[in-house]
Amino acid sequence: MDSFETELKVGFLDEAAQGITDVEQCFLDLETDPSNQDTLNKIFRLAHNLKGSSRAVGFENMGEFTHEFESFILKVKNGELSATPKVINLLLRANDHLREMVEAYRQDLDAVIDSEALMREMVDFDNQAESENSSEVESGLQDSESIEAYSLSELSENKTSDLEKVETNLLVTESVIENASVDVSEIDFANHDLINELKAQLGNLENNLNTAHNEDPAKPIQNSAPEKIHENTKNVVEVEFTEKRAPIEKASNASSSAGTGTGASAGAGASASNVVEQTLRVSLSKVENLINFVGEMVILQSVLKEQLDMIDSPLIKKSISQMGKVSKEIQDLAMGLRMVPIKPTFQKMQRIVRDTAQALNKDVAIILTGEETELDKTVLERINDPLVHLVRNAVDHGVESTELRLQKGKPSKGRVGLSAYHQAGRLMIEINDDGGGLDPEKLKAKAIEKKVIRADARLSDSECYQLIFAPGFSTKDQVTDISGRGVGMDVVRTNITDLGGEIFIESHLNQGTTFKISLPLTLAIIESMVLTFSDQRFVIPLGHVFETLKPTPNMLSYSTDLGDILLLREEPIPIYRLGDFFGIPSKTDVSKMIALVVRSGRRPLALLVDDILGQQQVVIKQLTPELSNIKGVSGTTILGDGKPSFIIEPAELVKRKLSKTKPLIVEAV
Amino acid sequence: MSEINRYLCFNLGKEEFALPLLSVKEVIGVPDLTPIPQMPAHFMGMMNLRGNVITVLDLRNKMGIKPQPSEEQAVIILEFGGLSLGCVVDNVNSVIALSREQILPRPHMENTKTSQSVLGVIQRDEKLILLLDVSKALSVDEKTFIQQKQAQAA
Repeated sequence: MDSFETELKVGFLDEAAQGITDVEQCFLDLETDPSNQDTLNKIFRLAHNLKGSSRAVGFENMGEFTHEFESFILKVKNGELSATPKVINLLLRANDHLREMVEAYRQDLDAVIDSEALMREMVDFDNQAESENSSEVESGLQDSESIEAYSLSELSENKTSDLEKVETNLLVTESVIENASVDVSEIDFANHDLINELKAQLGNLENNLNTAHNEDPAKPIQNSAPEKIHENTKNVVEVEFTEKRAPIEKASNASSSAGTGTGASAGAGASASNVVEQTLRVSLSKVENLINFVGEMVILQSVLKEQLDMIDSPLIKKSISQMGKVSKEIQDLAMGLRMVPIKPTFQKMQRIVRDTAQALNKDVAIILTGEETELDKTVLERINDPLVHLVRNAVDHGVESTELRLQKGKPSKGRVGLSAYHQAGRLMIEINDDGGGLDPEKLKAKAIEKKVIRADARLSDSECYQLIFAPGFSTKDQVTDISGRGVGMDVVRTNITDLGGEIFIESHLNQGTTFKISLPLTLAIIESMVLTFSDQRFVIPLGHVFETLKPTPNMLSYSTDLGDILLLREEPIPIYRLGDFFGIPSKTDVSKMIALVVRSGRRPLALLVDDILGQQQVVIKQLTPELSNIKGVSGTTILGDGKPSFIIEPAELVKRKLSKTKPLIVEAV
Repeated sequence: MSEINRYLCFNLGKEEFALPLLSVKEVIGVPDLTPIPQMPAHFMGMMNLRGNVITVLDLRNKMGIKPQPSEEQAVIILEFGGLSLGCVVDNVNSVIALSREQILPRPHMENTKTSQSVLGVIQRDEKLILLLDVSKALSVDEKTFIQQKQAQAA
């Protein structure tokens, strides 16, 4: 396969994947409003575009499948099939299949994919519903299409000898379409314009063929000719479909198809009012490079700003401070490039709710709010799995069965809500259900049974809720396919804390449960505290620092068992020198050091540092591979003076083996 | 005539070494370094190279060569196998062009650690220049170190 062809195919796959994702929502919308023509049109256009282009670039399997898919949708669109759940299920499966196909092709451009079963199912569906009149048109058109496909594939082999055959094919095509158009005109005789258009197109097509043929009959046709022919064929197909739809007002739209193939299909969709903002796809590495350089620029800017006092010229002074504003603006913009709306993830959840509810025989509606809320791409990717888990749980464990709901006097249709919003510089995601809620007593009993807590433990309600995050804990007695193996919730919490996020639970018995996830907007920049230990600077994310204090000697105690303890408001907290974790000897007397109380991990922790230099936003840089084994450090950053520094990860810090230290109290005395 | 490759010559202590020029990204003066905790002694620290944090290693320490501190100390930024690393050398001398035939095989001797990272020997103006295998001199060994550390941790 030559590189041009590969490029074409890869390009097509990207486009197809995008298209499939864009249309996913439509399938679900269809369920709530089965007669919505706009939705149907969108799906139809996807299938149609995929059919045309997959054949053009040589994915025959996909071409065949999308052809059946298209015909099937057409049935629904024309009202020959009503959009029953059964039909929508089949459509969804077809959509999944398309996605799988794209994936398979991505792995191997020559992949052969078997879609026979699904195709058969769609055709069978077809047969049941075919009415007499339409079947004639349908078969006529299908004939013509298969001939086109044939001629196209022949052409793509670039053999001149086939030209004659193609021409004959075209003649047949014309006559078939003519026949078909007679049928159509019987249904709707106001279609003369369309048919004329169609004929003109065919004439065009033939001319093109002739030109190609005459220009150089001895040699294979070069790229341009098949392309032209393809374009025209596409136009013909375009016109046909408009014809099948047969509304008179579409005639003007269709005539515009003479110029642009795809343009016509967009126009025919009658959703021209939906102006989409233009976008540009850029590789992530380019964006990251840009962010790196912008970060560097901001650092240089701050160096300049520090020198401001030494400059006399007011013009230079003014320019520097002006430039500071501009570079801040640029930094914000560059950071914004990594931000994507949460919408696609939410849409996936919609599908999961639907499928889960169906598998469990429950009736559940999902309500999405704040889909346009933006967050960092990396955060979005990593929050996906926890969200899937929580949403499934909401449908499975949260919402009760229909009978039980009716017994309780609730509406039979359950409700799962998913919302996203910004709050105090963080992203909040809420998953709520109107189900049975969490029962603190039941949770406690279960936890005791599973030996997660001691039998005599006294817990508040909210502490009981937290029990569901304990490893090996599951409240539902029956383990289902959907959820309930108890492997999930602790992983959910770990994933969220790894992202620097938190999860809270609110629950009311018989009213429902709400999970609130609070996440940082971006992983690239954090608000941090810069501190020193033995002349070395370290950075700690501000979110981890609960409070800072200067410990007095009577707050510190030491025991051989526990090590050093800071007694803070009657709470004993283990305390370490920061250097203890990194093998850096301390140069400062403990009485002069500052303790940072860290509460982000499972247990509180106090770290002694020499001094706190200040708070600032830092750009996180990943640890390079050769340093990736350093524990207790989440990355590096470049400070205002241009020197790199480590970012401390307190939760990891405690996992390090401590270098043996002398008790603090001995020094403190 | 085989193809000509270019090599960067530098000093570690009194000894002269060469590296394929293609693996060298740039040569800069020694910047202020941030120490890296709990790593072997030849991890000198981290530096900021135009917004990228790069680990700087001490080849002299690594190869057991006594440093000859001079004004001309420099960091060679190397790029190989997806890694960017800095190496401190005592001074950078010249770039030479050699054909394959001009590189003599490494003499057979007891397999010390250092001799394994020497690819060959170049004779030039009455002196010998050792051609270094960068990945052997640095990365492979570092990787084993990391694996050892991880094995210990597990």
